[in-house]
Amino acid sequence: MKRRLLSLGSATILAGLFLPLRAADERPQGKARLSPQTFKHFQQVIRTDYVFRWRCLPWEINPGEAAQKAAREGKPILTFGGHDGVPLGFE
Amino acid sequence: MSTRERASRSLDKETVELLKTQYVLLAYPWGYGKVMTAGGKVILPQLDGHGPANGSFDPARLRKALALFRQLPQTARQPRVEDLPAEWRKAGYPTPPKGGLVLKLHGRAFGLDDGGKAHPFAGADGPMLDFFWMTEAEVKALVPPSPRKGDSFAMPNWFARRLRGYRMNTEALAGPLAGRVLSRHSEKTSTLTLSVEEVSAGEVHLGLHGSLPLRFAAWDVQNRRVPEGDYDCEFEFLGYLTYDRGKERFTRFDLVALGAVKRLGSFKRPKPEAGALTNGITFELSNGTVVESIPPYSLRNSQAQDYFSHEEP
Repeated sequence: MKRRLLSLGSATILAGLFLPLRAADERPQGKARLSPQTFKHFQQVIRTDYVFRWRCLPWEINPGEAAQKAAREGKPILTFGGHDGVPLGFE
Repeated sequence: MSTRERASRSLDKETVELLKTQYVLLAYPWGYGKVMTAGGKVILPQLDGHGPANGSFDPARLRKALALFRQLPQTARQPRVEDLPAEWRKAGYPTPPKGGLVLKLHGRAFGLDDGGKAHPFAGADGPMLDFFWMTEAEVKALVPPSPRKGDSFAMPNWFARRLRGYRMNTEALAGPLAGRVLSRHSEKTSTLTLSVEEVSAGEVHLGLHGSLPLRFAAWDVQNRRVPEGDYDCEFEFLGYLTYDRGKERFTRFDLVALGAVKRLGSFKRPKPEAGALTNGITFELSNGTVVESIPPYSLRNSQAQDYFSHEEP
């Protein structure tokens, strides 16, 4: 009985020691954690706009100005954007 | 590969040249791939499809539109200024606040394993891009008038309020399960903190850290067991800001936010190929070009006074 109480006590102490650690462990650790060491890595993982080649095109964003330019240069207007936004802004 | 990635990759050098020299390109939500004259006559209608429809930059279609355009009389191809649609002059986007700040945001959902490796998440619709606007007063409020190394202060609440309205928070995760961010997390609050890391006569270096808990409610979820929300995403922030005291503007504003998505109740969502489902956002200064002056999506779809409001709901 005494031995059982001792082990229960030890378990409680151990639980007391490790519970806060376990709570903290809910967040990612090491390389999966955002830190000064992993900052650039995650920037590169998230920033992927380089695949969007249309961003290099000379866009107009104002219909009135686009019309004036098209009339002046004798060119048609191509529109790019829908109800979900414009892929140069919200994608 | 997402639809928009496919559309982007269809742009070869020759097509880029064709677009640059033969077209006026209008980034405006009037439809994908619609070709029209300066006077508003439609030459080719917009393409069907959700998102940047494939075919917007199809060279054969672009050449066909040019051939049709050239058959039009000169007056249609080059109308007089007074013949241009008057309503177009009133159209256009709001412009960034004078003296304020424009940040460019990228968002992406992915699986994150214990080694820090990112894995694809098929439920998401590819990377997202948006902008974050601040007024001049908001920018100035981020820099203490007499900064001392080691000082720290809470990031103003309007930052979290504004970010909660961002569609990329949900769309990056969404796929077929769109959701919305609740205006307030019922259990946690933001701990975002700015710290003064270095001060010199010319510059103030600030660090941003802390967390921003967001709670989401999904649309059309059956058998809900958590009426207050369906999943949590507590973003951990880390950032480096540099303020030029002479020019009175930020010259660096690099932030990264990573949030592990935690399911509540019975809500189910697709899993990434490996690792834990994670939503990531980066922030950086925009380059000031025309295309980076497009307003934030949540501003275009609400009133400016709501977007810039500091009032907590």
